[in-house]
Amino acid sequence: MEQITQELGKAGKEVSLSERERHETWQRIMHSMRREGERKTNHHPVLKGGIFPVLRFLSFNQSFLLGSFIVIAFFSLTLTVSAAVTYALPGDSFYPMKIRFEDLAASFRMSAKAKGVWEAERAVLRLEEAELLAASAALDVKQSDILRDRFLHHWKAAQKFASGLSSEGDASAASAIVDGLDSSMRAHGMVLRAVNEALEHTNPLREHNLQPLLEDVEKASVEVERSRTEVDDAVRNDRGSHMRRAAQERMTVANGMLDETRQLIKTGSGRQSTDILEAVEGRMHFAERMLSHAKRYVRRADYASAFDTAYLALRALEEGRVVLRMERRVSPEQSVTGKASSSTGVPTDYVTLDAVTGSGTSSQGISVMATRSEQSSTANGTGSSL
Amino acid sequence: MADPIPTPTPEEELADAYGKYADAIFRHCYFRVFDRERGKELMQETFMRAWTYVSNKDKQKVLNMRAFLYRIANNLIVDEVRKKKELSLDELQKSGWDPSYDGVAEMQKRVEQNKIFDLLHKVPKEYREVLIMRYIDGLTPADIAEILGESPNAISVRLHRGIKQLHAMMGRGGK
Repeated sequence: MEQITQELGKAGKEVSLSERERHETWQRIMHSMRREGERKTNHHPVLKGGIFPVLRFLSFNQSFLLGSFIVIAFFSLTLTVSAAVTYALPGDSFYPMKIRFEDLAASFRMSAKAKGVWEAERAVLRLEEAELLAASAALDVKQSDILRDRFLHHWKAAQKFASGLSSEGDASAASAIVDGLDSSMRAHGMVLRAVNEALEHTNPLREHNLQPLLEDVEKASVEVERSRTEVDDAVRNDRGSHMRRAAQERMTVANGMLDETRQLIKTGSGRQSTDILEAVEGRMHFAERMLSHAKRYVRRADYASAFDTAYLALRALEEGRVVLRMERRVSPEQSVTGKASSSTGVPTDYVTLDAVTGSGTSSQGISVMATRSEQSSTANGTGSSL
Repeated sequence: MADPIPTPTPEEELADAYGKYADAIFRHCYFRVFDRERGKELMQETFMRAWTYVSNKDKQKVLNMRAFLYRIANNLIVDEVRKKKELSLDELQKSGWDPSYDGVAEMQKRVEQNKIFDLLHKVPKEYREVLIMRYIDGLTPADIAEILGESPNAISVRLHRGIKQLHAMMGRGGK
């Protein structure tokens, strides 16, 4: 018995770790201890035992989480600022930035035609801003002056580019500038007149600050129309393929506007008033008829008539488009129903878009959407017609 | 007034335990698995688990570090045996197993050791465990009882029976 226990003890003493083994094993243990310590430091008890592996993954990858947060925050901020800049109106803190961006965009346009078209668009943008402010009775003298200055500056710049191109013999490019300017100015002049009329009707004692701008627009419209007539004459005198090209360009633009108007009606379906829809659709039918005539003229090689007829389609569509676009931007809270224009005690600081359009349709083309003030002149035969 | 004795940190506690018990734990593991490298790994794992426990402030303080380490080692060995079917000593020797550390032990010593291993391997597990702890690791029956969670009397009885079995086997020439 004694011998066995001695043997076992002896065998045990034979087995031991060398110094090197002891040291190496201790190093490995220390390494594991440090790793364990780090893991405990980075451990997030909030998500411990959670059922979402993705969240747990993210919690252990703080740098990834932080990076994602920065990227999302950056894009959100960019989108918010972008939207704020796009829809800024005079008086908003982002408005100066909007103007700077427009200046920057102008510097990227290389050709005179592109620059001219951009200046015409900027002139129209100022009118839209005035309409929106006036429709919510928020257009003060200062804003009105700012918008007038900018409007005058832009449409004159556009006119200058058109004249330059026309004198250089590129009447077709000049036509692209003045076509848009003329049709847009007519359409916005119509809207501004209606808004002004509605404001005066709802609150005749209050200064609405729209009148000076409206006068500027009317003066500019006369000059732009004269300019367009001159450019059209220049195009007509430019015999051969140029006339054909100019007519086809106008028809292409009008077809594009027709599609855009259809799209605006589709995206705003359910929100547009019946009066507006009827008026816009009347204009669209008219434009379609005009384009059909223009095609017939092209087949007969009567490009001058096609050119003129396409312009009528273009003007009708621009008027419809302007009204639709404005209606999209004026929220229901900003406008009241047609009753607002009557003296029924409804808040009178606002006007409604319903007041912008006249009612009823007619086969007299352009006069379909004449404003109330225009309806009398249309009835007298002074409205545009084929 | 004398300075109070500072409480050792978990790292210091473990370093002290390693210095005192590393060899003993390794030996215990070695005699249980008959594999030197695996024995070293099990000893390392034992100390790592002990660290995880002592560094956790929520856990109770370890009063008997030696018993605690043996208990961890024992559990690891049980898991190891469950995972891997035990090899017979003959199989181990056929596959080139050598109980000596550096492979240059004296022939006599090797013969004696082989005899001991052979005997231990033939003793049933419950006796082998306590025999190793008592006669190779040098633990008292009270320590073994604490490690295995049994009464010292039960351990003493088991030791007695284990020795009797070994004796009988030696008398039969190891058969």
